[in-house]
Amino acid sequence: MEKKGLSEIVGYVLLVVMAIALALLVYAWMKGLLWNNPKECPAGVSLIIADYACNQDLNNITITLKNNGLFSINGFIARISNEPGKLATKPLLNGVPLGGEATGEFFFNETGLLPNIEFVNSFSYDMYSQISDLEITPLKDVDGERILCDKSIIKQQLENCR
Amino acid sequence: MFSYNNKMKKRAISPVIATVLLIAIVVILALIIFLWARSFIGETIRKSNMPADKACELINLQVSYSGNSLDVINQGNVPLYRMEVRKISGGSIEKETINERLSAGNAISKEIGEGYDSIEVLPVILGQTQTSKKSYTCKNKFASG
Repeated sequence: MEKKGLSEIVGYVLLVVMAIALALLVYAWMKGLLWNNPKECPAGVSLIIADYACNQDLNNITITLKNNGLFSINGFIARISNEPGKLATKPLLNGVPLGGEATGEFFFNETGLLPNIEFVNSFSYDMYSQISDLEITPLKDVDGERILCDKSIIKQQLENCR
Repeated sequence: MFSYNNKMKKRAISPVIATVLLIAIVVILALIIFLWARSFIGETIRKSNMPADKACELINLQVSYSGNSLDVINQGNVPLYRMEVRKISGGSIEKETINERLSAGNAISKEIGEGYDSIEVLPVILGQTQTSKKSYTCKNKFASG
């Protein structure tokens, strides 16, 4: 009973320190296997084609888009198909009003297209001679990153656009 | 009597030190095994701050094949590094690689020949290991509808 050893407190402290060190090691190892949820478009994003009209003399299409959702929309990608039944792979290029690129991307101003607001613009399809399908993918800025809203893609079969 | 007293007076390590020693030995052994086993496990490829296989699950492609043209639209938010195309005809499969990047929201049309029953597209993404960039072929296939 007179033996001197480490006091109980020091023993516990040692054990706790080792447990924490082990936990940190395991955390550092596991961190490589974990990930944050990817940024996603909110479910309430909805863009609709309120109207469209093709001018066959000028070969242009006037599209009226309406933000039918709960959040502002920062842009969209517009693609068309020039053959019925084919995927809409061709970007809508001409008549770009707000800095569109060869990908068919269009961006609104800083506030974006607010809910219940319409956007009307004419686009030329002169280079395609005819268009049969239109596909619009909304774009939304989420935490500083531009995200494609792949669950809110809209498709429209076009008539009289030759 | 003398020997009994002698035995009782022998000094040994305290139980706390013994426990600490045991734990230390176990930890060292675990580390050795971990370092040894790590060489058997492949390098983890990460894409957009997540494991590559998880990034693959987020890929959303629309694929269409008609005539001799393969159309692919990347409707998701994961850019593709290239695509592996499997051209299925009868019981045989021909493989072709489309070495073109396809960023999010973009589309591509390629002539791949005609007469195939169906087409499968396997996306390849460019990920990052601890030391370098590496391509990763996803296991999810996108077939022409």
